[in-house]
Amino acid sequence: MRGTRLRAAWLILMGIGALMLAVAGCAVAPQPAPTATPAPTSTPTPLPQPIDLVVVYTSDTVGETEPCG
Amino acid sequence: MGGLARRATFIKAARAENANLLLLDGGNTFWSRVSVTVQSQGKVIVEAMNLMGYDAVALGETDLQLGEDILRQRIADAQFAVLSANVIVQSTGELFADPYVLLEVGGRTVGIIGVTGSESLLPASLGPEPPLDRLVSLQGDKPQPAPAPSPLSGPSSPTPVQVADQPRPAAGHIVGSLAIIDPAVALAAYVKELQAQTNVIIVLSNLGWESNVRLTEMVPGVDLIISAGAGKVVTDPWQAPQTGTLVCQAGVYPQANPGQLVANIKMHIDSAGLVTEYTGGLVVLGPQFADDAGVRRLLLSYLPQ
Repeated sequence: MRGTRLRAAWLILMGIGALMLAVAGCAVAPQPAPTATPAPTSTPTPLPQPIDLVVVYTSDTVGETEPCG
Repeated sequence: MGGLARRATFIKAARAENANLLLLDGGNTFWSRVSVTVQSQGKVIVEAMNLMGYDAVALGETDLQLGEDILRQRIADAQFAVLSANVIVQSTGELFADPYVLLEVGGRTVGIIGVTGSESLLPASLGPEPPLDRLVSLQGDKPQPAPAPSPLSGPSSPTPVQVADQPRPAAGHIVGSLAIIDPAVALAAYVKELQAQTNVIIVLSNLGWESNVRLTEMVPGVDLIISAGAGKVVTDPWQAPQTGTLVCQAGVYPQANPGQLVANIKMHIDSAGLVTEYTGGLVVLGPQFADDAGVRRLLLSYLPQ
């Protein structure tokens, strides 16, 4: 009788141990290596090109259409 | 015929020589006492400017005399931008016209802002003293130095002015259903808005030469001000020492037809948007410029048969 109890306790202990090992095993199971994601490359905004700009302008012509000077 | 038709000839030649060209007008353009312009309520001018390929025009204070409804028709007729950052519809408080336009020229984006008003809208006590040595009066066809500078009450040394600190009227001038509000405050707001989109900013302002010179330090960040409003002829562009803003004005010679002059400025603008070199000058549209056939035909179509 005593031996039976001892065996049952032993079996329970072994079961708990196996369960703990399984859990621990899961925790340390090898994970797939992370895919190497290239770091985002910062593409600098290209500077605008210098420009030779010509502005032709008039003003204050108040609706004049006629010849001048 | 001649003023507009000669101007068209000059502009065609300028376009042939310069790939990166903007054609602009500082304002006071549509309203008139000239009969053909009066009868067409400014439409003949808009159609001629369409033919010449204008890019942008500022609304002038005199243009507002056409009235809100007619001006809306003229703006709809125009194939160019008609701009004002400081004319509002009194009943709604909304801007009457677009405050600015963005144009692509030679691979660069250029922001152009319109400012409407007169000298009285910008007190002479603000900003730097205007350079008077560039003003001329007409004795014959050639620009000559002005005999005497006009009196000014501005400070003798340029002093940066914080626009927001100045007391300003809500509306400087009321013309019919439209009102002109503070030009410097409006300009400062739109320069800031444009700076997020471009580093080349041109202002078309008819506040007059003295006020536009003062604007250069009240509102930094502008490359060029095309000045209009006072009619004075300015021979060479002027560059503000502190901000680098260029100011130029074609103006009108006394006793001469207002359409007599056209002016130009050539600027080298670097990658950062700074003007590093410039040259400019005035051209008198004399008889050496033949009439452009297309504009002449347009003008003739408006004359009584």
